[in-house]
Amino acid sequence: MEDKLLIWKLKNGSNEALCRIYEKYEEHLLASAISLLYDVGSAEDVVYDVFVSFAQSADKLKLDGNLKGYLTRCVVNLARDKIRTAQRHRLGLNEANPSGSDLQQPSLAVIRDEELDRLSQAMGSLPYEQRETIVLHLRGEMTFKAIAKSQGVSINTVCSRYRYGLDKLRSLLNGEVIQ
Amino acid sequence: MRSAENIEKIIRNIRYKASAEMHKRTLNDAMEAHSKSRKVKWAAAHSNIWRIIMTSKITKLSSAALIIIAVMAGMIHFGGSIDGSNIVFAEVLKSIQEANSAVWHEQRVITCNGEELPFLKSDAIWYYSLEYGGKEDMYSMEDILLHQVYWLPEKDMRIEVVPLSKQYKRTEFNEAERAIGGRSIEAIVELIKSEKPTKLGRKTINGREAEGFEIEDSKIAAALVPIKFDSLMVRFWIDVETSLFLRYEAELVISDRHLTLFTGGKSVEVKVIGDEFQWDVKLEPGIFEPNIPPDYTPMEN
Repeated sequence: MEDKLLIWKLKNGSNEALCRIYEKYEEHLLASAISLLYDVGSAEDVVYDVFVSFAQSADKLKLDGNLKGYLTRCVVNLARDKIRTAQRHRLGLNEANPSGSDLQQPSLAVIRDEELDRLSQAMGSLPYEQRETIVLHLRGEMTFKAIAKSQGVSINTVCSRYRYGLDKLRSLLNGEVIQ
Repeated sequence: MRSAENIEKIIRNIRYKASAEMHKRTLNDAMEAHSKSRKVKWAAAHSNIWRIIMTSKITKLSSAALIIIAVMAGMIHFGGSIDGSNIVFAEVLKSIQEANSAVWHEQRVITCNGEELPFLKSDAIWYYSLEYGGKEDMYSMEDILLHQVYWLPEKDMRIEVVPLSKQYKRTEFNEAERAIGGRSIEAIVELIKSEKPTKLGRKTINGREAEGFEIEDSKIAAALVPIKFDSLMVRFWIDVETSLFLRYEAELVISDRHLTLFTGGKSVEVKVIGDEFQWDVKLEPGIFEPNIPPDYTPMEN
């Protein structure tokens, strides 16, 4: 309910509502972007772009679901674009980076949160499709059906990507604990 | 060992605090982007309204300030006080002659049944020069330049420019404007004589002592404002020390269909406030030269 009110206020020109939305979702969006990109700088760029563009087009905003999910989807879309761009500009990166992380490996110290650092590192080991599915489902609160529609694949593919991704994450994270 | 549920929970809830620099930069830029888009949206959404307004007679409401100009110009040309006896006006005349030019701010608020019509609210900057004439730049509350009017006595012409619709209009002065433009002393004498200002006493405005006067149903206004109004009252306040205008207030009740178009036929009240006068300012002649871009088209009557 608060989000609906905030959006209404935002559409009526309230900068206060814009601040409230940003402050409410900034940490969530940033962690989502880091989970996808495993790079704080790139993640900050994505969140910056998403939010400025959101503010720019707030008047035309038509929400199907909730605001948190909407913003997360924007982050996912932009992160995907960023990765594709990086892939185009860094031919051969995947050979040098068999773990599947498509951006340059950052300094681990850059991610100040230990748990997020471990998670992002593990996420970086997943194929991007699995990473994206997990983020969309768990952080964007999208159903598998909605993800399938947005990605243009079958619901079974989405479920598989999710299951395989989560299994791998569990094994990676548990392995790290054992070590 | 972490279970799948546990990992799901971690992924769901994990947060990351942005650096103070990133937080500030994103928020500032987002707010700026939001404000800019609002301006663009406002311009698009209201362009039709303002197009109607600009092509209607409503812009002549700016004549509230013209009344003041008329009084000033009239006094100057008449060479004496308005009613021929009031010493204050003689002093005002002298001060205005000496000041030669002025810039001031004007705000227009339109209400209907006590409710403000925010989309019709506007601000204007006025330039007045005894040498070159008058000019008004009218802005929306979002700082969009809506309308410019040039009163050019030398050219015997009023020129209106509407950037919003890329239009302009050149109109020859009407009799009253021509009179005020200094082309007919007799006419202006007749106009000024008809005004019977009432003294309002003194009050302090922005820390300065001012003497107030009130004119009701001004004949000058009737001559200058081609829009039909039900009633009009103008108050103006003169700085006791400098004998220059400090503030004016005009209140009009209007039933003209050009305005009641926005209120379902109900009459509207227009309040015009002119203040922040700066006297004896250097005004470049360019201010009074309408530079109409080549892609602007003539406005239909």
